Amino acid sequence: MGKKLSYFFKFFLIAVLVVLGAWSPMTFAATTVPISSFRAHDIIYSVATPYSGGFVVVGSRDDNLYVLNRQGKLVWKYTTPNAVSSVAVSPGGHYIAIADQDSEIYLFKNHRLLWQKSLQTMPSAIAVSRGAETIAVTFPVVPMLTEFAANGTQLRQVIIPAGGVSIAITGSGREIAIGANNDDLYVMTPGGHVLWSYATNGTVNGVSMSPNGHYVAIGSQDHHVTLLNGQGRVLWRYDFGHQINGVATDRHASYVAVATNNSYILAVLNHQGTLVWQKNTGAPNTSVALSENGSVLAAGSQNDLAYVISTSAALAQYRAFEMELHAVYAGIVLLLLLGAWWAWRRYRRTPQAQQLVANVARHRISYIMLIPTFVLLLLFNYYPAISGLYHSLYRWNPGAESYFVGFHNFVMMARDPFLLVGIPHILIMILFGILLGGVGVPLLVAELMFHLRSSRMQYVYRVLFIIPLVIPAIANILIWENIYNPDIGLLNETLHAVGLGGLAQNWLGNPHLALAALIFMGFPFTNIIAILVFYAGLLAIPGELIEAARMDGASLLEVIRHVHIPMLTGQFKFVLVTSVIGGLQSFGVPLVMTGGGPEMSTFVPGLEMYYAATKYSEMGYSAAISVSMFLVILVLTVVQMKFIRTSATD
Amino acid sequence: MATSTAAVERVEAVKRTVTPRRKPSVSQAIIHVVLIMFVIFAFVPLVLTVFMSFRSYGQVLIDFWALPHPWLWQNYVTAWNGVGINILDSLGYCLASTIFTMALAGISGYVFGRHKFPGREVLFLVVLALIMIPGILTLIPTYVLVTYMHIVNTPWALILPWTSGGQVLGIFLVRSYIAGIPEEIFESARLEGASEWAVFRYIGMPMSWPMLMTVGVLQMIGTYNDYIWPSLVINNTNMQPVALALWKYTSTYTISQMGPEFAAYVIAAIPLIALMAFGMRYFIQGATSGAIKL
Repeated sequence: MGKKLSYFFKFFLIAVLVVLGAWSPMTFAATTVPISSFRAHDIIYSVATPYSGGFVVVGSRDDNLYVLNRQGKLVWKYTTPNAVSSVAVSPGGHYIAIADQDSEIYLFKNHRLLWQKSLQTMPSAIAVSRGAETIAVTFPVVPMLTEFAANGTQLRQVIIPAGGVSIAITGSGREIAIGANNDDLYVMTPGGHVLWSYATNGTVNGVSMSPNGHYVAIGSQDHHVTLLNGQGRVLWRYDFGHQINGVATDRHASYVAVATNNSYILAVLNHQGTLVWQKNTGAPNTSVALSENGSVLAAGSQNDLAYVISTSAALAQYRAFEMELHAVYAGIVLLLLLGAWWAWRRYRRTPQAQQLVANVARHRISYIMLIPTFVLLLLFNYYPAISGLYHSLYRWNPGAESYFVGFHNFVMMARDPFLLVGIPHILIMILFGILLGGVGVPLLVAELMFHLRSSRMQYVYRVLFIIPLVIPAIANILIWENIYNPDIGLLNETLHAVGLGGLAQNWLGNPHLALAALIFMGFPFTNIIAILVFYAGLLAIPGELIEAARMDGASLLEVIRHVHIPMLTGQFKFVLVTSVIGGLQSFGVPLVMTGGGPEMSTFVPGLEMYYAATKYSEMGYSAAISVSMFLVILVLTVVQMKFIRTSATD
Repeated sequence: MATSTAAVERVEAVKRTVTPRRKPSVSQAIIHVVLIMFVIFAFVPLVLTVFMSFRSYGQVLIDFWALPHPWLWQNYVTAWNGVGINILDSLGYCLASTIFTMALAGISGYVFGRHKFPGREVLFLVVLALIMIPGILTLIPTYVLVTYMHIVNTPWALILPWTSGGQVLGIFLVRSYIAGIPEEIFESARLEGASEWAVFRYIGMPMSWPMLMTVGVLQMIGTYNDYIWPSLVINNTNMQPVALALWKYTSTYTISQMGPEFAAYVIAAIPLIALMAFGMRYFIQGATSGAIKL
C-alpha cells in the first residue's frame, strides 16, 4: 500500500513540475493584445470603420468628428456646433456621414465637406451605403426613416412602425435594419417596406449588418445580443447580464463585438457564443465597430476614450492559449496514467498485490455501501472546492468560455476598497464575539449553574437558555432590526422610558454605530452551545480535584483559577477555533440587516464575495476571495491541530 | 463520545446523591439573581415578538409599551397566507434532507466503524479532509454546479447539497459511537449466518439510533435556519423555504406591516418548538460532542 502510494506521489510531483514549467510562459500571453486609445474632450458617442478597417471615425460630445489611424493617432478632425451623436462610414471608406445634436447632418468625401442639411427633429442614428447612394437617418421621437442621395437631395421619407435608435445598411443599400424604441428590430427595403421584424424585451440600442445582409446582430437593453440570419431566424442569443449599447459583426458573423453598459468591450465568437477577449474600460461603453474581416475593432466609451484594437492578435492568442491549455491538460492526464501504469506493473507481480485484489473482492459489500456517500461528497463538496480553487485564476464566465488571468483576481483584491475595509470589521466582530458570546458570558453562566446546589435548578436554567433557540436565525436578525428601528424600536423606546432619550439613535443608519449595533445583536450573549460545552467540561472535572483544593484552603476564586480554567483548556480551544473559523466566513447578519452599509461601515469579506458573485457576476473574483479566506482558515486549522496534539501529549 | 456522555451522567447522579441538602444561602440567592437576569434579557426578543405579533403599527405608534388592544388574531391569518406555504416547503425539504443524512451517516459511519477492508483509512481520510474545506469556498462553485445540473428552483437544489454537507459530521459521530460497541455482538450474528446487510440492518442501525437522532436533530435545525444557500438557488416565491421567505416577506412590506411580520416569526418558530420539545437531549448531546471530540 505505502509503496504504491509513494510511486503515485513521485509521479504526481513530476507532473506538477512539468505543468508549472509549461504554464509560466503562456500565462502572460493573453494580456498583450495590441490596443491603442485616443482621448477626446468628452464622452464618445459613436464609432465607425470601413470594411478595410484602415481608419476609425469617432463622434464625440465635444462637438468633434475625429478620424484616427489604426494606431489611434488623430489624422483629421472636423468641428460642428454641437455634439456629434452618430457617425457612419461608407464600406470603401470614401464617404463619412455624421449627425449632430443641432439636428444637422453632414456628408464628407475624402475629408472634405460635401454638404450639410438641417432636419426638423434631432436624428438618432445615421448609415451610409457603398457609394453614398443612400444615406439613411432615423429619429428617436418620430417614427420616420429619411433617405438622402450623395448629392444631398432627399430621396424619400417614409413612416415606419416606431422611432429608431440604431440603424445599419447593407453595402448595396438594398436593405436597412432599424433597432426601434418599441423593442423591435425591423429589416426593411429603402422604401420602408418591412421584410421581417424581431421582438426583444428592451430598446434595441445597437444593430449591425454584415456587408451582404446575410447576418444581422442586435444588442438590446434586455441584456441580450442576438445574431439573426438574413431571413430573421435566430442563430444564437447570449445574455451579457448588462444593458447592451452597441454591437458590430464582421462579414461572416464569425466574430461579433459588443459594448456593454457595465464597462466591458467584448469580443465573441460565433456559434458557441464563446467569449474570446474582453476589456474593462472602467466606464459604460457606447459603441463598437468591426472591420469586414473582424481584424480591427473600434470602440467608444463614456471615459472619453476611443479604442482601436487589433482583434486578430487577440483571436490568434486565444487560439494558441486554448491549444496550450488543452496540451497541458492532456499532458497531466498522460503523465498520471503513465505513472499509475508503471507503478501498477511493478507492484502487480508481488504476492501482496494478489492478496489485495482478493481482499478487495471479498469486502466489496463495504465499498458498495459507501458509494452513495462518496458520490455526493465528490459531486457537492470536492468538485466545487476544486472548481473554486481552479477558477480563482480565471475570468470565470459560467455558461461561456472562461479564460486564464493568472493572479489578476488576487491582485484586484488588494485594490478593492469594500474588501479592505471589511477585514478590520470582521476582526473586530470576531474579537468581540469571542470576548462576549464565545467565552465571557457562557463561562460565567456555566460556572454559576455549576455552583447551584440543586441539580433540578441546573436543569431548569439549561432548558431556559435553550428556549430562545426556537426563534429561527433569520427571524432573530429581523427582530433585532426592529429593535434598532429609530422610530418604534425597543432600544430607543427603552432609552426614552428611562430618561435617556438623548442617547436615542438611528443605530443601523449611523456609520459610526452600525458595526457596534451588529455586535450588540447577541445581547445578553448567552450562547447556548458555548454554555453547554463549558458546563459539560465543568461536570467532567473529577470531584476529588476540587475537594483536594478546598481541603488546602483554596477560596472559590482560587479553585476556579487554578482548577477549573486549566481543566477547561480543551473547551477554550474548541470555542476559540469555532468562533474564529465560523466568524471569518460569516456575512449573514450584515447581508440581511445593512447590506454592508451605511457607507461601507458593516462590509465584511464574505459579503463582498457574495455580492461579487450575485450582483456583479464576477465569479472568478468571488472565487479568489473565497480561496484567500480558505487559505487563512487552513493555516488556522493547522495551527490549532498542532496545539491540540501538544496538549494531548502533556 | 458515548463514554463521555455516560461519565457526565454518572457525575450528575453522584452529585445528586452525595450533595447534602442545605438551607438556602446568600451565595445561592446571588447566583439565582444573576442567572435570572441573564434569562430575562435572553427572553426579551422572544417576548417582544409574541406581543408585537398581536398588535398593529397604529397601536405601537400610539403607545409602544401598551398591551395589544384589541388582540389582533387576524395578524396570524395574514402571516399564514404570506408564509404558510413556505413553512410546509421547509418541512418537506428539511425532513427529506434529514432522513437522507441519517441514512447516509448510519450506513457510512457503520462501515467505517465496524468493517475492516483495504483502503479504509484512506477513504476515511477523504471524508475527514472535508473539515478543512470551509463552506465559503464551495458556496458559489456549488451554485454554478447546481445551475449546470438544471436543478435550480427544484427541491433537489436544497436537499442534495444539504445532505452531502450534513453527512460529514454524522459519519464522524456514528463511526466513533459504533466503534465503542463490543465486536462480539456483531460476530455472533455473523456466526449465525446473517449477511453483512442484515447485521447492519438489525444490529448496527438500532444500536446507533441514539446517535442518529442527534445527527437528525442537528441537521434539521441547521437546514431549517439556512437562508443564504436558498437565496442563491430558489427564486420561485412559492417554493422558498421559510427562512428565506421571512427575509423576503419583511423586506417586501414596510414597517406598517410589522404585526403580521412578527406573527410570521412566531408561526415559523413552531416546527423548531416541536423539534426542541422532542429532541432537546439529542441537541444537548450534539452541541457538546464537538468539544469532547477535541
